[in-house]
Amino acid sequence: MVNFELRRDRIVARWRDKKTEWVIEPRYWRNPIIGISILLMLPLFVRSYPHILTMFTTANLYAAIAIPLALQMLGTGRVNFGPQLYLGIGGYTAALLNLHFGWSPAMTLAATITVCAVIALALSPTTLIAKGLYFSLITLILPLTFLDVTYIWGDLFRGEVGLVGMSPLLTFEKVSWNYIAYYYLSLFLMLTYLLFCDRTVRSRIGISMAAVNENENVARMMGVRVDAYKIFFYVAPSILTGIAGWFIVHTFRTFAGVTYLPLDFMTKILIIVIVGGRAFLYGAIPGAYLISILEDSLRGLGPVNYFVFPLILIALIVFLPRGEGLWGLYKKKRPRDYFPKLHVRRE
Amino acid sequence: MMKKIHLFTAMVLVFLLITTGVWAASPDTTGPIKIGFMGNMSAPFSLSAKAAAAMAVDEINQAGGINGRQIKLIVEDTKGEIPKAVEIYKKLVMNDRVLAVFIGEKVEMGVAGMEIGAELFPEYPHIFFSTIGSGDDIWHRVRDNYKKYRFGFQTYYAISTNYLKILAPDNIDCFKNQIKIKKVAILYEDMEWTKPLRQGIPNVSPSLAAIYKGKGVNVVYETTTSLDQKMFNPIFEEIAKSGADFIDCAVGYIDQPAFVKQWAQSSARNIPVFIWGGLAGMPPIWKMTEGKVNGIMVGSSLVRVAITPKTIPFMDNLVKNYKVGPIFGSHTTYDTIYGFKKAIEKAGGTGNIDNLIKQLEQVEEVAVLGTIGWDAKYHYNLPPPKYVTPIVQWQDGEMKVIYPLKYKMADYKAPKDLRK
Repeated sequence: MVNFELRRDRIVARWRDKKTEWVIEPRYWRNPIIGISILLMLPLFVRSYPHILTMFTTANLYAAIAIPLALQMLGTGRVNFGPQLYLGIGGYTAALLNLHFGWSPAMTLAATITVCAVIALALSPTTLIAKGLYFSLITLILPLTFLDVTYIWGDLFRGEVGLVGMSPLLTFEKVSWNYIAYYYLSLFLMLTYLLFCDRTVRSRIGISMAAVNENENVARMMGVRVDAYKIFFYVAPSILTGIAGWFIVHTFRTFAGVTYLPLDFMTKILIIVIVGGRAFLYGAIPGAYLISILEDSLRGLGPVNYFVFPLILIALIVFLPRGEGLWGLYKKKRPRDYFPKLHVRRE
Repeated sequence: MMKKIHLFTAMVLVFLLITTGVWAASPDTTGPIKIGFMGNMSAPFSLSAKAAAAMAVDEINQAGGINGRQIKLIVEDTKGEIPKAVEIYKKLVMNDRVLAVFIGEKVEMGVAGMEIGAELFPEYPHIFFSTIGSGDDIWHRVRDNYKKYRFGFQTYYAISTNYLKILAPDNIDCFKNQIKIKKVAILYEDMEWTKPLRQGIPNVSPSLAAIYKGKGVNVVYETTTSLDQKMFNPIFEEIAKSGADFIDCAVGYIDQPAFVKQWAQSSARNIPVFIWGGLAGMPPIWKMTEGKVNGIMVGSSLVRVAITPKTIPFMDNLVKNYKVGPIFGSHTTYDTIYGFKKAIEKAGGTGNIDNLIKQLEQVEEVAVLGTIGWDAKYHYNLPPPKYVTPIVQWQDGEMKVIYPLKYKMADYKAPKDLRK
């Protein structure tokens, strides 16, 4: 007979002379293992509810867009209000090549990466010539311009209808298996992004990045190649966002700029970053899940949810530790910087 | 402490029972007939369509249901987002096990719904109705791959083919007879639904301009405007210079109050204007334009004219009991549910989905706007004169039907005469 004992900070399980402890006090958790285990096990609990699984798939995709955005904000020291531009470029590249030339998802992935890299490289000088509000305004306008283009060249982009009927990444005999598979694929995508961004931030590049983020002029004086870093941190996250667009195309098999390019989609991603914790890459995951679950739960309230949801978001932004969001709340009792910072003496 | 552990264990067990689907719904051929409605509940047209769906369901239930079975309506909010729409569609079909999904939203949602529906249909047979999505993308799927998309039906006022082959020639005849037009200026909004009008449909119909020419009306000006456009004055000035004696506006989604106000103050203010649809055909436009809409002609299903015995009661009940006004999409949703009801009755139940599809292809039922039914091959709703959208003219604060003659309430009056 297994005996369970609930203590203040842990659950103890005893069987004969063996004892296992499960620490429930968050500050003692081994974060990545616990987090990934929960995410891996989620389909076991919700497999009979494909809509919940799809909601989690969407949350993974939101996080996969928010993580590179957080990296970009740190690396360029600028707030990009339009990363969905690359979601659109990636999505339309994949969809058009798949529909018109019959390219497989693997080929459209390669094309998506190439097209996003070329366009991001062409636009990357904006990080050098524009600062603060000016950079934000430029990035804000670009996706809206692209949205107009999808209407103007309606023959190609199909305007408000969008492109439909692209090949799926996977097809199983039972549709419910498809949804489980797509959940795991989206999880894999998100975790790969997290790993890439986390490794980058913890590396020597991350130290230079922190220097650029703190003060560009000081960083330049210290020998950091500021321009090269800013271009890299504009281009690399843009490619990652483009890949998320590719994934959406081959998962939902429908892609309309009118859904992803307007400002309200971007607002949601920014809120995920802020609520999750804009200084922490990990924060994008709880942020994305919280926003998705909250939005879905409040739907039951009917039309009232349209003002309850923003009220809750405002409350979260106001009451969560400033700039640190959910992840900051969790890390509060365990003060250890997750990404390196250079503390420059300003006097 | 042990009590707490037992409580915790019980809660975990209950959670597992719920989430692993032990209590999940199963498909039913008895009990209530479940139907799902999904739309963007921040958009007026979805809200109005939702109310119309609720009204149809309440009326049918009060009258004894369908073959003695009550209808249960499940309403879901897509928030206008495709991922959410996909998520909700799955919920309705796989968990709630609805017999039919009604999407009362713009065409991109209808198309996304049809794609996810096609994926689910072999395992979860159901019917799909798009009751607001305009254009041809929905029925084209049925035309191109009937086997895959046979579960999908579209109810909207008219499809492009019928706009060009039935409505446009009819309307031009009406304008020629009543206004004596000779030279026309055509304005399109830059959306997918106007593309066939601008370019024609190969092997089906020439463009709208070509139809005008074929009817002996000279097209002196043609332009396309974007949805963001707010300054229409330059267009009206150019139209006035072109010598046009009539302006045909294939628009429905542009900023119509701004459009109307600028027309009324431009050099083109005495040139009669016809607007295909949208806000100009709804009662609030009079106040929004401070009466400047006077003289404008518009295709409107919101005029109080008894097209069938159902029309006026529909409008009154919707306002009185459901607190929303009828907007485009509410009629189509309401009529679709009645058409669906009749098909189930003719099919003798809901057990055989292919039989139900066959019945939907043949059914005809008295509707708010005429007769509801669907083309047997392509699944769009039956075109005019079966399903009617009258042309009305704003005359001193009221919409008056000027065409079809069967429902005519007043003669056409020139805008300058109305302003006197």
